[in-house]
Amino acid sequence: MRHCDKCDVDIMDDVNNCPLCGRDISTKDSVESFLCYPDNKIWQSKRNTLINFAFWASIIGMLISIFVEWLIFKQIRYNWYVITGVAMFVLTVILPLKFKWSFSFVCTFIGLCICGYILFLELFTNSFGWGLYITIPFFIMFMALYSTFITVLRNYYKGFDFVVCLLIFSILSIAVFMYNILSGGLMWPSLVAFLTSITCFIFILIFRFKSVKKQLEKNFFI
Amino acid sequence: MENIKDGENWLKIDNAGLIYPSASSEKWNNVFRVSAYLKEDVDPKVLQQALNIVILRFPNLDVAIRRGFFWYYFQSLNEYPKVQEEKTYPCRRMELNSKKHLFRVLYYKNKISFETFHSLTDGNGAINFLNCLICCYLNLLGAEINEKELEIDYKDKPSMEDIEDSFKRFQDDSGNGKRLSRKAYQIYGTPEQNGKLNVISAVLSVNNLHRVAKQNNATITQFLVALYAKAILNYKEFTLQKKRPVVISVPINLRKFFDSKTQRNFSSWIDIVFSEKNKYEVPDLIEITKQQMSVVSKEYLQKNINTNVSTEKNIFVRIMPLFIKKLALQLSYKFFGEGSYTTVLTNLGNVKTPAGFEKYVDRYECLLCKSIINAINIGVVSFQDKISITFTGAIKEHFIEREFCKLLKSYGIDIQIYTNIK
Repeated sequence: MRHCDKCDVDIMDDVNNCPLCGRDISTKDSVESFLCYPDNKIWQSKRNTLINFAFWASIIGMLISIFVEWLIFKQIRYNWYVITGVAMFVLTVILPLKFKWSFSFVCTFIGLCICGYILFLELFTNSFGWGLYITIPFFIMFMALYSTFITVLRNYYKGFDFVVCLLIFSILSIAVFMYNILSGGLMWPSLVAFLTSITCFIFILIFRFKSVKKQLEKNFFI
Repeated sequence: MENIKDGENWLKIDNAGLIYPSASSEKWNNVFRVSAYLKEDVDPKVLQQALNIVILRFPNLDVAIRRGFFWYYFQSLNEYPKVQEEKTYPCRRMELNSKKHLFRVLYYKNKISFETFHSLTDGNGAINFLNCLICCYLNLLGAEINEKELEIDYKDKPSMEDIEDSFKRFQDDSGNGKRLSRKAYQIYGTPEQNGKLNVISAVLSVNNLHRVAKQNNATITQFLVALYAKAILNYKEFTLQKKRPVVISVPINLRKFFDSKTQRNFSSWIDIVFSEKNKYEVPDLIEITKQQMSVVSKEYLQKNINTNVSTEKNIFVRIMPLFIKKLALQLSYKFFGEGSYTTVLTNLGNVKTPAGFEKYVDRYECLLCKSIINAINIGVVSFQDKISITFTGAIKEHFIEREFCKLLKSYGIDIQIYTNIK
């Protein structure tokens, strides 16, 4: 081992400066080799770099697009679609990749985002006009059936799973149904969606009671 | 709720471990390491075989962490973890979302290291796992070491006692302890970047240290705490936060006071406060340490356990969704947790091993990770006549380490330094 005369301590061989005082001890003869720690390398995550690049590229692209529209038309009109698109891209692609969400969680989240997007189009544009009465109820029905099939056929019980997805869309179907009753709109699609999702949930509860209980207990234990 | 043994595959995090996943961030989580230096280089293939055998005995480690709506929980993995060659800094952040094991078994030349996320186990559990691994490894290489002499026999089947939450078992109605919150002095320096962790390990003779501590009417832990306090107080003279007390947090192994065999977290701590001005010498600091450590008794620790468990059972805490809980816990951990002490000194004590270990194992080492606020921490562990006092820090300055070694030298104790600072 090497020796630092200033601190009066023995120091492992592959160190050139005393870690305590910083003195150069490289010229000291060593007696025996003691290597305890590797040469340190910081692992660079390519995945994170790529995700960050995609995020910033979409933000910069959006800003350029806004800037160009403002320069030409002196107002922002079409770029609201770009802003919404970028927000959807960040929420449904960047976030799931960055935080490694499970497949079921991604499906649920994207489903909710799509419902939100349809609502946005309904309320702030003249694109559809039938989002709340037809599109959202049918989409909820699709998600409820999809969650049920994937749970029954694939026995998909892991973490945040499709049972929780089904539960969330069942609750959403109740909300949409109640809204349509109160607003006096077209009722049959939301009624069908409500009945379908509740039937699916009861079906899952009856045939997969133990697994569902375990899943719900695991996700919601207090 | 412990359902791993019943064929189900999830496990509630124990009381002490609950804070760590919530307090974790993108840049930091609480990982510590215990290492053993063998007398010959490690054979990674045999080590992998040993790990495959030993992991079956520790179901509390064979888990990944998952998010529930109200709490985090462990999910059983039933996968064989891979041994890895150590290539970078110790105690790097664990990826909590990856559905992988929350520990690493690393090898580098003659060293076997076990790094784990603190929610899984404490120092005692980590040492038990490492000893089982080494024992199995040596036996696979042809050494004849009696595994029955280990604290945990790796050939036994796991029992419920090993994975119980002992905090819950020993909680009673004898009342809660008081929690004092104060702002402690913090060691500041030039921060290292990219997760770099500076390690300085001072290795010395246990007998010499014990002799010196005995001459000063103190135990080894009390003596080291006093020396460490002196080193920090000397450094504090040059800083502006003179009014804040130096607080050294010393973890306590509760298994010594309560009859528990759990391999999960079961430890508490005591804060040793040095609130006076900087004119104390080491004997005075030893007296202060002894006086404050004398309150540690079964009753005192019982009240600490009651406080911790009652906080967890509080209805408002229980019904708070995890994302709010996480935010609250992150802030409280930073300001009322780490902000209330200056540094941590943990002494794992003398590692008890089966006869014959000393032929193959040279020494042990314990590394604490970089904290959010605290700049330097110390891990102490001894084996046979070698005690490793390991400083881990994320600042470029090493004044305190130098002061500490100077103080040890002033008592005539020879020191060997091992470091990753090149």
